[in-house]
Amino acid sequence: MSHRLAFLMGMLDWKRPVRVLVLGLLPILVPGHLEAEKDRRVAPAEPAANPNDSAEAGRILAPDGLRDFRLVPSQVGLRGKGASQSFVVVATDGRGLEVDLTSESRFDLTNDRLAQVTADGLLTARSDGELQLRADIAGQQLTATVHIEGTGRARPFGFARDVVGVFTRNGCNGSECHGGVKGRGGFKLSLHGINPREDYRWTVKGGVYQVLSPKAAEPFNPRVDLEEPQQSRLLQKPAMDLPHGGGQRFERDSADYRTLLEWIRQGAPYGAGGSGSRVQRLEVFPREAIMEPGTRRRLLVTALLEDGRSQDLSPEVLYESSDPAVIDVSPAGVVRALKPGQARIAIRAAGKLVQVRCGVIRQPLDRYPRVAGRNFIDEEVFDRLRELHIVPAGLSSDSAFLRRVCLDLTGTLPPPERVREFLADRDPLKRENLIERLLNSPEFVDYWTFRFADFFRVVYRNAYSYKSWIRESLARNKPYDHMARERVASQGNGGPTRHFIKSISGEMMRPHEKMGEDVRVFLGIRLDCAQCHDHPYETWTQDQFWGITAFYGQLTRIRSLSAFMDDISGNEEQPEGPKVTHPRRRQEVAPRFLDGSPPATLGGNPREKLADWMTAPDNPYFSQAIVNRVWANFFGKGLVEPVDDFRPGNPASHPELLEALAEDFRRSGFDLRHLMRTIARSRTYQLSGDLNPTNREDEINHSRALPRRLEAEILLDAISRVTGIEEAFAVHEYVGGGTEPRGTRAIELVPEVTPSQFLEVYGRPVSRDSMPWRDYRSTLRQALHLLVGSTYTSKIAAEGGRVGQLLSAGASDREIVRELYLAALSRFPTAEEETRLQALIEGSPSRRKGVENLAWGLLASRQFTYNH
Amino acid sequence: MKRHYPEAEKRNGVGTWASCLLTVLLALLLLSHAVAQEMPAPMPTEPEAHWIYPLGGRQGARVEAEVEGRLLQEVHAVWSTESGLRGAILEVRPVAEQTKEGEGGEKGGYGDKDKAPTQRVTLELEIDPDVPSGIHSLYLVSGQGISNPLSFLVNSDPVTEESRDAGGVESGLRTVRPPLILNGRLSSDGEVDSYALEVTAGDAFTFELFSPAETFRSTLRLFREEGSWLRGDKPAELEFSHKGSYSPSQARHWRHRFSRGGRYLVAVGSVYGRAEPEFIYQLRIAPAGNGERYRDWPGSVGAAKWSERQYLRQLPPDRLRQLWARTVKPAGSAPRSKAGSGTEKGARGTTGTQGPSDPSSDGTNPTLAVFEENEPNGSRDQALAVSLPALISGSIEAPGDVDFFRFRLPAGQQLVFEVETPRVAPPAFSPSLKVLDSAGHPLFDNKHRKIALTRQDPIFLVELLKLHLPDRGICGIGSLAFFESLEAKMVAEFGVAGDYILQVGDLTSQQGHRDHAYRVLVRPHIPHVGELELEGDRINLTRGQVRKLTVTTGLEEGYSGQVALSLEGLPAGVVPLTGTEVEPPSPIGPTTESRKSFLGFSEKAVILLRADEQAPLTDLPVRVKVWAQPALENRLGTRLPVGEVPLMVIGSREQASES
Repeated sequence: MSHRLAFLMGMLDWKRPVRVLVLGLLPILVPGHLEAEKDRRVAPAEPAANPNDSAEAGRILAPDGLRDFRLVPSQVGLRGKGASQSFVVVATDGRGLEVDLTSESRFDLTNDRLAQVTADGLLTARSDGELQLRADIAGQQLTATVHIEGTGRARPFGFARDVVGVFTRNGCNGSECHGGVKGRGGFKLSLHGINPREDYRWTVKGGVYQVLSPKAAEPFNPRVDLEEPQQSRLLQKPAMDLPHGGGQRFERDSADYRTLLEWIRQGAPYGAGGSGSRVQRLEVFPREAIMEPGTRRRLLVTALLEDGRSQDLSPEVLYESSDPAVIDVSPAGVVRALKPGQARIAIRAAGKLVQVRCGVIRQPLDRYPRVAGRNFIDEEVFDRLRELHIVPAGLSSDSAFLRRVCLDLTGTLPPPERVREFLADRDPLKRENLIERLLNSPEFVDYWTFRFADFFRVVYRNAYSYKSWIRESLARNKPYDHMARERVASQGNGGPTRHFIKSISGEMMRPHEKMGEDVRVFLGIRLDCAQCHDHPYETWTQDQFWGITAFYGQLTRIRSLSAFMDDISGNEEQPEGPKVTHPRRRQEVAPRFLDGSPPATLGGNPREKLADWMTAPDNPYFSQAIVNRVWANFFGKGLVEPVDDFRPGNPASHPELLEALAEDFRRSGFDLRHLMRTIARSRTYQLSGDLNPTNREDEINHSRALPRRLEAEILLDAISRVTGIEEAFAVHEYVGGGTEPRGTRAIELVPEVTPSQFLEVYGRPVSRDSMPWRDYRSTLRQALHLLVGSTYTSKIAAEGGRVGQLLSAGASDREIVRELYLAALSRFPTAEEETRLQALIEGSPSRRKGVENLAWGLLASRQFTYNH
Repeated sequence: MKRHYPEAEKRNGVGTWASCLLTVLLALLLLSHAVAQEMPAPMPTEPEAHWIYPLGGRQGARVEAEVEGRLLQEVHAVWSTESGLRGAILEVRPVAEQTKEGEGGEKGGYGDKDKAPTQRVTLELEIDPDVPSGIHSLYLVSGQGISNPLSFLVNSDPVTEESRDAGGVESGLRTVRPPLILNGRLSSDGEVDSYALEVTAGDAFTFELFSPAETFRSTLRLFREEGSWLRGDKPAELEFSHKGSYSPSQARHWRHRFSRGGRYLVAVGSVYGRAEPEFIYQLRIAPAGNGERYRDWPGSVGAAKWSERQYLRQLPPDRLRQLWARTVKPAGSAPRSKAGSGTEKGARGTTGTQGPSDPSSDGTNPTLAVFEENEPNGSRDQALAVSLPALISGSIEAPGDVDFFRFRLPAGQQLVFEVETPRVAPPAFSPSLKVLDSAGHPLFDNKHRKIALTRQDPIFLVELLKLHLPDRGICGIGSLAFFESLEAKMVAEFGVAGDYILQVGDLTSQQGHRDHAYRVLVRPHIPHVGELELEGDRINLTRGQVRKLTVTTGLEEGYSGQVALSLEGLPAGVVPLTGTEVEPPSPIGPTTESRKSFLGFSEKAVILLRADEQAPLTDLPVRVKVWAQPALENRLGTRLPVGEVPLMVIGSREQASES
């Protein structure tokens, strides 16, 4: 890219209007600067720090002989009339991939009287007894034992399993349909059948769901007609005998239709869904599938029931692919790999969810190179890459690493003299030493105060003491669980209590607002939707929401002192706990943790009990939430993304790694610096951004460094640093006006009171009153600002700036080119870049203009505006 | 088919009305804001002084100072209540309208008829060596009268004016050597004044900042002069030194121990870099351990003055005598206090009395028992038995620490609980008092829940108009809100005889320190005259005219008598007349019960001062002292000082032009 930039700079004097037209082409001429990046290779071709470290991509080869044949399941028990079980045949091919051979296998039974089996492996019971299922494939004979009992009587009918199963399988209780907050078309179902008792009531008795009342409203129109079962709306609508907004869900002669009809004919009982036969959890085979494009795998879904038995639910569940362009799944559970990439298949039944992780690889490698890891992060990441036949990039160069780690740990570019010093250092531990130096620098505290201010919601109404508390906590390396406890249980008028204050009004947040924020910040869970109704996409209920809110119910503000305290009534023997009213039931809610358990005692500061529960080592969410946030800082995205949206339906990309990080974090005593040190030292973090044939499509497995656009504040500070001209930040008039002291960095600002066109254009959140959201998209306004905005032009041309200083110091063109490269990109220019750029400076109308153009070109480049 | 939804329509109807009401309210508010913003500042009728710079000087020094204000063009003298503090006017000149330095416009005068012109006065002050350290009042005097007072600080430490190169946090500044006083000012937005210190490892210094500017939210930061690895060209800020406050306050102090020797920078700034010409400060840097000078100075925050409800007021063992001195002792048989003074058998503690020469024979000076808390006393079972009236001392040394005390009462008693925090005041230490019955049920506490008007800004109103779901913090519609305060005094009635428990702790369960000391006085209720306030800081009385002098009198604990006011030191030709004033009705205020328990009552009295047509003009102010005397049952009590006000008799403009 550099030669294009040099070519462009040679053409341009960005101060002349006539050149503006040409400059307008810059986003096109400089690839990827403002458009979506197509080519992720951003770092110039530099030799890796240690060429021997560079992983070698393996040779791609064709399928080989099969081994490890298996018939799954190998043993099964069936109960009841018509009970059935699907079987699959798998084997491992010569490249280590597990392949599905069910359709190529031939099935037969040792006793045809007891059962029958189809060509695709579906066995159906006929009589009680035990038999063997045999599968012949490629000369191999595989067997499974099947035990059958109770065929003399029909399996007891259960609304929860049978009827709700029909709802789930046909998508009726999805969030976009009747499982939505208020249902749809006057018919309400619980989301994915999480509450079958309520579903039964809505189905059999009818009524309209009310958000703020537990009672159903009129009209009460039952969905079943016991006198004329076939006239039931429960059948007529999905079969499209009556108009149905959801379209036809099944045919009149389908199994689902018959199931519902039979149930209504029997009097629509709730049935035996109760004891013993309730589904406790779902299991799926395989949990993970690595496939080649064009291949198929069949999924086996098994319900584990309360009574310890299991049951095949494969044909009765709902399958959903997270990326149908990569992985397609049929209603019968057959997965088809379409193109390289990764996707998840969510499987829902009886209010339960299980997921299958699928990876589609381009082609398997015959010899996967040895990639030496440095710590457990690398083990987890590289194991996964090996499974996916993706070879990671080599180690990043020293200059790339220096720039990256300085930005990630301190938000600050290294100055030229430090770049020279680091590149010249021959100490084999210089990277580790650098990490330690940065972790103990004042800029580390500045930067992480900025980061925490974002998600801890520092606003101008609470900024001063709250931010000071954050800063001091980080400077002291206070254990994170202590920080959390101090914030959740804070009283008085110290720094952490300030987060109870709203930004606009300065008033105290309401209990549910406080709870929602704390749960989101510390557990990474968004409960807010459950305030008015059960969560529309997940299993959080309104009762859980208000139960945990109750911990905040007696927090009171003493206005005269601007202090907060818990106003517990009752006496010391019988303290009265927090008081919060459930909006639907209009009843006082007792405090309960998210897992439904109550605190052991009442009285005192109830939030201390909540903080104990939140930060307990056995609470998986707490540690995972913060390590995920920190991970996102270093890699641009979290292992769970969005970082504050932990839920079963949004699992981690690397669940084992997430838990390993969380466990290491817990063992370190919730030490944030330890966590960051561990990440920064890993080879995974230190990989280059180089592409190879196997990692080209990968964006989530950390096979190479992905470029990340600098956040608005970091970018502005970097521009100020490179140009040597500090930014003057005016303060909004509504807080009295003023100007932040000279030398104040953008990361130190409180956004609401320091308006800045540059920062807003580049995506700084305007307000942190709710969940802060940063906009990383490239926009036309950014392009215009780059071309004519004063941030670039004024700073570059300002007297006393870096350009002016270099010129007045009599630096040669070569020295100037090198100095600007070191300041902006933390590297020396290549010989070619140096030669061409010197020539371009010489060819400029004036030397100063040539140098200014060079500086502008560097600041406009993607190498500068991205961390890579 | 279109359905009919009567409930929805009803709700919509309500919503429409609410929307209309909200719109009207907002429009009115915005209009009033707009009008208020366009209103020019009223033309002053008497000299106004806005600031003085520098803020102080050293004993025995001569200081050249500048004062800015309005109607100062004719000032001819500097006057102070401290005779050793004298001054002379050197120059008076008009100044630009723009007040911030560096933003100057054309010189003022009367060019803009809507705005009063501003003048700047240069004066020379002479501080006698024996002028006591402290905050003194300076006035400027002209033919149009005396100005408002300006605080001027006299110190014994060396005083240095702001270094001219102290314009930012830079290296290479001149080194200052503590102890010393630095006078400075932040007059340009973004300005930071920095001073270099040379310290050795282990040095600890106290940094005290004083500013009379009400809106100055000061910050103080410490930097190591040498930069960091990444930013070697910038002084590196020390952790844990970032101090400041969102709320303005006259006096602040910080203490810092330097773990490493070397050169450091002390930077004074303001929150958000805001600056005004009146952001004038004095920074004192002294070795730690010498106390807080500014806070302890007479005339400053926390200075000695009769106070009913300041946490930092003193509750000495003779507090009862002080209280009885603020009322009229009953004639003949004394009205017995409603609180019994029976001592608890086995009570620990010492007994303090009012002194042997002052027995409590008339019931107005009962014995006051003094108790020190004695750990363990953290539960009702361990409560220390105290006899009443009692002065109880203790401290909340650790988070969650609670002290219990037990006392016995006959039926029908009324007690007053007063609490003092001698070392650390709220909000750092917020003492919570609770009175429990013998079973542990709470009866009273010092948390005062009241309804009051809140701020009127539109954004706040919009927030409040939102329907608040059950919420303990605030609930209200419009600009009314309920809120709570923690009071330093409460009055409680006990109908039933028996044992009671006093529980003392921190408002929270998270604060505790050995400096969190308290002193609780449990005493009979004594109706008395409370705080006395004199409105106004000077009187410029034109011949032939009258000016009012308003005195606000606190009436505590059911004081039902009157208060006689008298003046001393009136110049010739000036006579006091009794005046009346109708007090405007308060829109929403505390309830009577609330006042009885926590706030007390107050009355306003107006004295009209009339200057004869022939009253001699005064060249310099005279000091008029105002006294108050409780009057009860046709008898007067002891004279109590209300305050002192400088007064000048001046001629009218016409008279001035004639002369």
